[in-house]
Amino acid sequence: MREKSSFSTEPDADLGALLREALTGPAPDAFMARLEAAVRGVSAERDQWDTLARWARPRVALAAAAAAFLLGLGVWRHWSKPGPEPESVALAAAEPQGTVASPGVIWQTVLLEGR
Amino acid sequence: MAARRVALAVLRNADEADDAVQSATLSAWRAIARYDPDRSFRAWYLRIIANAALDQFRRRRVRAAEPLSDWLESRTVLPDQATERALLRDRLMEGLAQLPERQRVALVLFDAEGYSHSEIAAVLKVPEGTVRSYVFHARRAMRRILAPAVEEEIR
Repeated sequence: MREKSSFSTEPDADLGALLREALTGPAPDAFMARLEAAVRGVSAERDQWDTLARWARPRVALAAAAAAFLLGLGVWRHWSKPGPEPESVALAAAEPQGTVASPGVIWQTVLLEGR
Repeated sequence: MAARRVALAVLRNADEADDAVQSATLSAWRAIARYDPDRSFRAWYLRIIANAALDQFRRRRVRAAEPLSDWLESRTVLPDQATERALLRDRLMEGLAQLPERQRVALVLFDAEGYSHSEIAAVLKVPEGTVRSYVFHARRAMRRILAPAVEEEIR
């Protein structure tokens, strides 16, 4: 076990591994099978399934939304392949050079309009 | 399985822990209509497990002195490295036995199962600061108890 502060707010991986090893009881699979059989033996009432459905519904909806988003993203990427000349480049090429007017040009414009 | 480990940390007897988990799981299933789907399911379920184990532990303490766990006894005769490992495990179980039950639950959930302080607070129904204190004291005690065994293993 590495030296760590007891104040640490992170889980202690070494101590955690020791605890898991020590506290994992014998034959976990057999235990799970017994537990499942015991639960199956208890008749489920309508309320129980309703509650589980209420719990599962938002998670299923979230998964569906995520899947739809990914699908949409894929379709969008497929149809928006770059053309020979992107629009922004074409606009940049059409723009006249020296769009920032020099002080001389501004002065000339003011004089002409003053006439 | 976190539920089984929590029950075993509290009860320190594999059979009793399995019984506690099974009966608590059945209780949870019967009472699932009371579960609020907007809250964490695992915190709700583990609270039922922890309470069942803590109740059983209290009843047992009232009944009589604890018998030594058969599960622990079965681990004592092993060759070389495995023996050292088993001794470390036994020391760990002895260390857990010296901790108050709620500290055991907090330590196992935090360090072994990766639960957050707030989740453990929901399981134990105590403030988050209390959980931090449980984890701190439990860790300090466990390190003190385990230190000689770890040094032995390194040698």
